[in-house]
Amino acid sequence: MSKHHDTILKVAKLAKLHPLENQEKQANDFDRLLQLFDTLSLDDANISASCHAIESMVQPTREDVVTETDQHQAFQSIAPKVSADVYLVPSVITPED
Amino acid sequence: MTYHFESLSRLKQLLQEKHISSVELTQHYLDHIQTYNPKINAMITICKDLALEQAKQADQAIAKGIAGPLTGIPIIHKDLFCTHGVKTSSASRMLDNFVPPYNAHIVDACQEAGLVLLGKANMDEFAMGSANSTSFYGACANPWDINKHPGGSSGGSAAAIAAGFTPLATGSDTGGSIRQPAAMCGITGLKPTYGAISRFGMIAFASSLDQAGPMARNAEDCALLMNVLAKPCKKDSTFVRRESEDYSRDLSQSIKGLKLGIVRESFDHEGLDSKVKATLEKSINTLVDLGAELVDIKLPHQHHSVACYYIIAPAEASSNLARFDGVRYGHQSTEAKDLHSLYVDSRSEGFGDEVKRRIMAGTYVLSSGFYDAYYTKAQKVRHLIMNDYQQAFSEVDLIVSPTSPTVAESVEGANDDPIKAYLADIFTISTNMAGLPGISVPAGFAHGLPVGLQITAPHFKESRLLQVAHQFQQASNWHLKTPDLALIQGGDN
Repeated sequence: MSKHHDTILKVAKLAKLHPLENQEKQANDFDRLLQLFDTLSLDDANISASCHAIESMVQPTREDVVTETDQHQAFQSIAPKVSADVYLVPSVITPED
Repeated sequence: MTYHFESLSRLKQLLQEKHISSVELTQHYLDHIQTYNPKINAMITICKDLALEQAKQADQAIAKGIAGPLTGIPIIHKDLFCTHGVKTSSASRMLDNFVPPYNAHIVDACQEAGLVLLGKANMDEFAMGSANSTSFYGACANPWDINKHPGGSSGGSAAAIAAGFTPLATGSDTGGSIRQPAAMCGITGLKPTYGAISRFGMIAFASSLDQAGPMARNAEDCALLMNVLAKPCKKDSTFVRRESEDYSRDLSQSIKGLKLGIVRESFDHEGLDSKVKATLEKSINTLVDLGAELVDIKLPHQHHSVACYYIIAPAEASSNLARFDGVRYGHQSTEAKDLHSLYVDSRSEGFGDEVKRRIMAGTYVLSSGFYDAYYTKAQKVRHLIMNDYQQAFSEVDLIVSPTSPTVAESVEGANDDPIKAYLADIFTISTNMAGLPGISVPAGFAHGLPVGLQITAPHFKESRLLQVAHQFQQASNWHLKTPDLALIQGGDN
């Protein structure tokens, strides 16, 4: 069994996913991916982090007024389940609770 | 007469001089798609009725003398650009039932320019892939050899142009997804500067890297589409407000004296196919013959770009794709017993394996205890990569490199080894990390398949890229080559 088998289960839970059907391959691929990540072995103590390619970008501002119109019916027309203008989901509290 | 391999300038002339109507041209392309798409699978949705209606309106505009430069010309959008009333799936089961109530900014811009929407192109699911093999709607084939993939993730857009389904298409490029399929299908694809084209209405993969761009037969056509796509947008805060630019302006200018940087290590890369390398060296000689000067440069941290990208892009993807929970839109599991299982079952049923793999990698690198070791570290390396380019562009005007280390490979087994596929992105990814514009131009053939030359420029120097690409295409004929459609079973040419 791959050393990352348990990691895959833990991360799947965090990501709200079931693990892939072939868990062993997924764990092995994950191990190889981490090996790739570990090639970033350089001294980064005095390097700043860049989260954006255009660092000089100025964020535009706008007047603090409402510009959008109410389109909830258009948006909810493509929802899986809607009733009385709210999205429907299964019960959070089940009878057994 | 057949029109499907005509240049945009020729099609414009035919329309303006009324040798053909837009309705006739649109019907021609629709018929061509109907004949060949079953074998190529470049299209997810074909908008026959909408296209003919838009073509009719274009003909009216031409008749009234109020047509723009591209009025009546057909186009295909990658299926991650929202189209009002037309399914936009991002090639995922998750969005198989998603019909957007609005248009992406670039879709609006194309409509206003009078372009005719033929349909939506196949792609890798949520743009995650480099072989168009992860689509929920099946793999797309390369028109040059239908047993080979077309590259990805904008594989459907590239294949559609190569097969003559359309003269123009849109694509998106997060780590090479316009340039690499353009190279593999023998067309021209431009990844603009980050922020040069609005991302409003483009289904997000990795928000700090995603960029929409034009794909066409040649650089001249890309420039014309770029003029439409770069329209200012107030709805994307990362759109960079600049004076409008005519991207066709410099096409005819000589490239004599331009300094082309070359990273010798790229051409000695162990993964670079020797025939691809030989082909690219000939194409670079053509640029030198045109008067460009080659200058050796270094990009010392480029070899870190794949690891850096496959931390940052999945991290952003895991966050972006958290919205797909089966509640407000998209796939909803019918098996869910409670709220938690609604999320998990809907997401597990809706996403394909490669998307799940990347969401989980992203979740891992953002999780407590690993964030600094991976995500922050990758952002620091990104800074070094950006600095490398800044230094390089203080010495040269442009950088030439391979687009892809190989030509298109077999469709079979394209998804078997994800890490091997990631490593093949080596030549395109660093451009995205630094937000730079890059173009891939047809540069010849190796193993009977197209090879692309990548040219990279400083921020917002798309006109310079298009100028060099156009001048190269005046001195070569690789962009005029077309696949033999008679070899594709199911139709003749």
